[in-house]
Amino acid sequence: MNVSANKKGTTLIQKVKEEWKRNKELYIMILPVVIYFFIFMYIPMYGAAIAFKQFSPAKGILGSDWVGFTHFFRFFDGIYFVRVLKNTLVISVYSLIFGFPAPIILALLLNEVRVKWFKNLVQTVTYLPHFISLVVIIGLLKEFTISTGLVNDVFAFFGMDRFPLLQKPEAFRPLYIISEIWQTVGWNSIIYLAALSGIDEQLYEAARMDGANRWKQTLHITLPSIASTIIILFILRMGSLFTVGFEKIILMYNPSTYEVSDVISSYVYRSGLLDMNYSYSTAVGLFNSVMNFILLVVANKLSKRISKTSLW
Amino acid sequence: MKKFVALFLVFVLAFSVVGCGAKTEESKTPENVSGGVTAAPTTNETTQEEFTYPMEAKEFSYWMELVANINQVVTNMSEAPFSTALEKATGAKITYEHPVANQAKEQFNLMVASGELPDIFEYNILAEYPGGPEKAISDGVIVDLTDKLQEYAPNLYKFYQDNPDLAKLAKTDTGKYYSFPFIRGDASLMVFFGPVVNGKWLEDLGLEYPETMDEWHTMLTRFKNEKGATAPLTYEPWMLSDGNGSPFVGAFGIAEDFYLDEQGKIQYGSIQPGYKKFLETFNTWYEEGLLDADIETVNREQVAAKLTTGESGASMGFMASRMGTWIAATVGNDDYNFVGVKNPVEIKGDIPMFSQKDVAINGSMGDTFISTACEDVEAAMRYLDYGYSEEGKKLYNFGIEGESYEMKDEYPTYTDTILKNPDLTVVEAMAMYARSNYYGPFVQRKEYIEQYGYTYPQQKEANALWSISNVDKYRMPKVTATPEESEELAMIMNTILTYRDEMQVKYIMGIEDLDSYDTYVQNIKDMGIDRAIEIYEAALERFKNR
Repeated sequence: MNVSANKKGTTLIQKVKEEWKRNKELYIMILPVVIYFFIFMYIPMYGAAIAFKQFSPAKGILGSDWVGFTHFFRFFDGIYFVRVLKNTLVISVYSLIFGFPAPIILALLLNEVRVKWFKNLVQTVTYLPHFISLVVIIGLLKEFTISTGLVNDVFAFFGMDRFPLLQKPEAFRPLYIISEIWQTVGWNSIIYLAALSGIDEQLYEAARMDGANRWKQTLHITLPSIASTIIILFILRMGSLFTVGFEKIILMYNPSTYEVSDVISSYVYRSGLLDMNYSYSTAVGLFNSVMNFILLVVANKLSKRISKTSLW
Repeated sequence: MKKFVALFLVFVLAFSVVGCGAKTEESKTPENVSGGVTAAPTTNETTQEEFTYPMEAKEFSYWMELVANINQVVTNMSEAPFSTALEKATGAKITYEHPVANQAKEQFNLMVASGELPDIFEYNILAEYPGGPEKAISDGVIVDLTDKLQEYAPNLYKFYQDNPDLAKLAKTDTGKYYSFPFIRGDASLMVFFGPVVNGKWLEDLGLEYPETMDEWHTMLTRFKNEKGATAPLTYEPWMLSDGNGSPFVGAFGIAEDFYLDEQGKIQYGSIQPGYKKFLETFNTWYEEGLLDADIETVNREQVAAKLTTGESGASMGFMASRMGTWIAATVGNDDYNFVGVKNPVEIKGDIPMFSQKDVAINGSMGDTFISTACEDVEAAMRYLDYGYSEEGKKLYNFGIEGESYEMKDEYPTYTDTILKNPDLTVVEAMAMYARSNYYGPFVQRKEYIEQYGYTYPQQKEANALWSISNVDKYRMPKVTATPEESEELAMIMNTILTYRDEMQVKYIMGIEDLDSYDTYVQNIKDMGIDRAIEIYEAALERFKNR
């Protein structure tokens, strides 16, 4: 119990002193992190002001003229606004639906494997793609999916027509998501494996006594035990729903798939190339962040209400 | 406790996974761009009065990007023998500052915003500074050189006097000179891109070099049927829409983007009847299997692979980085002989209207500026003007006489220090002694490319054939829009280009029927192409009056 809190009449300064005395090691430990966030995350935020300004390098961020919401309206009024917004959301939601459970499933499966060397092998093999540069991954993807590539060889073997998959709008999203899962599944499963290793063995033992089979054990012990980890990660993921990185899109897309692949970030990247309009890009970036923030808060609220787990 | 560990891990990972991924975009600016110069002015000694190099000792700070040609060898330009020689010749002591690789833009903006400018800097003000040079002058970033040019930069001034057309490219709409530009003078060496075919196959099939689109069709069909080519024509997709006037679009008397018609009026190519003809032709080629089925996704390596394994027999590309590589990969193999052919036309005997040809001063690379922070503008101008003098041109192009080059019969010949350096590649060695293999404030001479550019005779021939063109008449000059206009223009064109590129692919692949071409043209008009043309017309008017 907190001793000082019980004493009535202690001033705030005394409380702080008391608290500092008791936990000073902890405060010192967290100090670098606080400084880091302050310097690298909070101070640069004033730069976001140029979204409402007509940025001119000579006048600097603070000196440029205010233009209000001009840049935002210009983005909303664009012919392709609805399309890029839709594509961003669709790709994001798809990769959430398919990509989010994948590492959980992998972790659960690995958890059940009893042969140690096999488990290690699978883990290593699934981690590896994480360390390969995105450029190389997409390079491989392109090589595999051209009309004379591996994937088409398989298609041809089954008597289907050869077709360069990256020129097919229908194939773009599946390719994007599958390659993403392939690249990230192993790495992302580490978190869940860590959570899994924290489950008390006695729980399983008790369950076995009660006659629960492997499936029942997974369902009633393993999953509930890592539920909080899953939810936290899910909430964090919601916070980036409006963000589809332009690097991968730009490496993968071409005009024949624009209709499904052109997302906010890639569209802005192309606009940026043409007119190096910093203010406009910042406005779009800010719009993205605000949407993400709203989603994050909503997801957190929901989770708090439903499962009692939340970020704050 | 373990639960906490797990949660902690969650956070650590959630925040650490962010920083991965790299970005690449096939650069649209040709690398190994080169061009030599036989400077048009012959001699210029007589016009100069008493001033001679080296001048009295001056110190300047000089900000420039350390290009890939050299940044593996030295960390600062001052370590290169070139800098020492230049210092000795001009008398100016230079302190070089280099931005971190790939961060030139950020660091430049930071410098401008903080007002801590170097005396001299190299940057792409024309394209990268919002509002261009005019704005940079009025913002107080760079010095207006107009009034001082004649007195303090006599060599550059003389060059402008002798080449009034080129001088236009180096000033703003209001007639201000603002930089010491990188100048390519020799016309043939501004040409470095065009169509390439496998000449051995032509020989085998008894075909001449193709000139018309019909001859191309015949050739590609025979490549397919008799040579077993699965993708007779292939190329990197962005090259088709390259601003330089793609060979195939140009065959129909249009450029894909803006160009000048016979009356000198600005037209937008992608809505012309000629563009429809181009789309029809390419659609036919695609349906007949003459055009690579993977045409939208192939990259540089795949194109090279297809060409050098007999899957393809025709393409287009840059003289050194593409054609040179293909030739090198097939040296000694009798089935391949890559040759450049003329840009195709519709009617035999016509001279191609469009082709790739750079302008002598394109203002993008190596534009050198004197900033408002410079205390002795006159001396800085003297220093920079050196690159346009006879002696200076030699130093910038060939390096140090007796060390990196020797004069053999009046011809500056690179020595083995450059060409057979035991420690450095040719590119690196050249960049250590001179600046001819990238850019800078000087006039580039053709002897550079003659010794270095044409590794194979085919390249020299290609250069000659690609140079046959009337592009100078039809090409859109490099005009500048006003800051307000350029923003509007960018918004309009970004929408239009997205739509145009998308529809182009659909028409070529037959996903969209060409019956809808009129609707397509109307859509582009609705997106504001007329306004864009209007802006360009006004800019062109200002350009003409420079």
